[in-house]
Amino acid sequence: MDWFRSLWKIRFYALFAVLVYGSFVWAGLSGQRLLGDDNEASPNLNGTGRAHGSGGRALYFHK
Amino acid sequence: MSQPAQFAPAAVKCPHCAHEVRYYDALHSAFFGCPECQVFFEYPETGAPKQLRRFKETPRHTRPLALGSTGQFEGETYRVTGYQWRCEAKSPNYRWEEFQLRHETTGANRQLAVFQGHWLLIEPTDEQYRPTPGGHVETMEATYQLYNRYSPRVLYAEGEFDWNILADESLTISEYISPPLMLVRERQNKNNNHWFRARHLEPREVAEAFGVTMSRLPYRNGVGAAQPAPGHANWPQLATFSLLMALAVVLTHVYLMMWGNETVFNREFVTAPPMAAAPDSLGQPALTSGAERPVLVSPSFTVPGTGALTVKLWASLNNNWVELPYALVNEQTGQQFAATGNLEYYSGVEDGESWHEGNQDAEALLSQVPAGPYHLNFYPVADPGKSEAIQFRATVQARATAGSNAVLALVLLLLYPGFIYARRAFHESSRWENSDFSPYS
Repeated sequence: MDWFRSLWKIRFYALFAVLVYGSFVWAGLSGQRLLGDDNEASPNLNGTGRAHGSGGRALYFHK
Repeated sequence: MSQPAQFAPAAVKCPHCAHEVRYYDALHSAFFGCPECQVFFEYPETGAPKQLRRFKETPRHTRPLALGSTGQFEGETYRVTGYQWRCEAKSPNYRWEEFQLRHETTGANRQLAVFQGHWLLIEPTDEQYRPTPGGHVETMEATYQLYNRYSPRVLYAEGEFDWNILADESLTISEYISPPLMLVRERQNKNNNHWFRARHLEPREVAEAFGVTMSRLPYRNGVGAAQPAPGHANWPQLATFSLLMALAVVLTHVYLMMWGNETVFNREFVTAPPMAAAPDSLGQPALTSGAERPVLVSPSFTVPGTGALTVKLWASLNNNWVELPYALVNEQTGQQFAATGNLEYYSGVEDGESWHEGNQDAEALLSQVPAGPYHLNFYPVADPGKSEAIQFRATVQARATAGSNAVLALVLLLLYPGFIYARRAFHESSRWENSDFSPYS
């Protein structure tokens, strides 16, 4: 208990740390990636985000 | 708070210049420093006063505390009754000042020492400590490390003293530190040790105790012997708590990895260049122009819950490359997620040594993919000069965990403690620069 009381001295850091940990757990459980995204398409609900035709690809080119 | 210097109740005449040296402790004081002629003399209870030394140097700087002024420490009132300017015998440039303090009612003595603006409040103790051969003193509260050892020289003295301060020049003084505390041993010979306890004081505390302005105190330079490192009061809690939170992040990440990463799709594909219907002019089957290969569509699979997906690709390549753009298509809503896997692998032998470069696998993490039925569309691109079929495997794992989330959380958690740790390390390193017993050398 004394140790927990002593955390009052670092209450601002402790609050910040708890917020960081909470955000980390929330992101992990909800499948959020906090830094960047590998998804190259703009998400949409009607399937028109990319210009893929049946004949092949239109957006990608190699080096 | 402090009071201005009062007129001392008693006085003795300097045997050299006959200046009247006033003093406060008529019962114990027997040694005096004359401010007029810089003579240090003894005034015994019986017999004539005896001149002991005439100092050659006089401090030219402004004295921060006046003789006779009073200040309060821990609610007790002390009066400045003596002043000394000292140096180390072997290092005359190491100079400090000592103010003799006398308790107003009990007559108990303390000292205030200041070196390069760093203050120590020193009081005698009856405790006897036993240093180890390695230069440590263990007590119930702390471990003290040997910091300095020297013999003092008195450059100048003024006011009253109840002992012959010149006799201190035959002492060997050892200082042991455990910031903000210090133990000081005065040794005459092996069987005659006197110990003192000292405590670091911030200049602000001295200014408040004696009611003087900060500008009157000497400028602080470098790191004091017993000056606590930055964050001294909070560091144990900060270090422990931040490490516990970092451990919680690591354990949570491991748990999420074990709980998630459920494989929902795993299948091999083969991509081959489309063959033209008619042979070319040489009668050989012709390849379609360009590097694009036919689209491959995977069977349907189900993503069990909304979350991140990991799409892993592996291709059987040897001195070849393939680019695999793909789209993850929700069969109910049409929502698409897209990414590209760039795979290449080259190897060989050169000058008798084998080499390889590139990767046969790639991985992408797609965030917030809703639950539902999905399929993958692949749009392979390969070297147009190579007609071989390329086999590749696609694996999809649901409830994936982003390692970058854990890295970001760890960086955020450890940034401030890391900064404080670095400051403390620099502080400690600077502190020991003035010591002959530095653990850093």
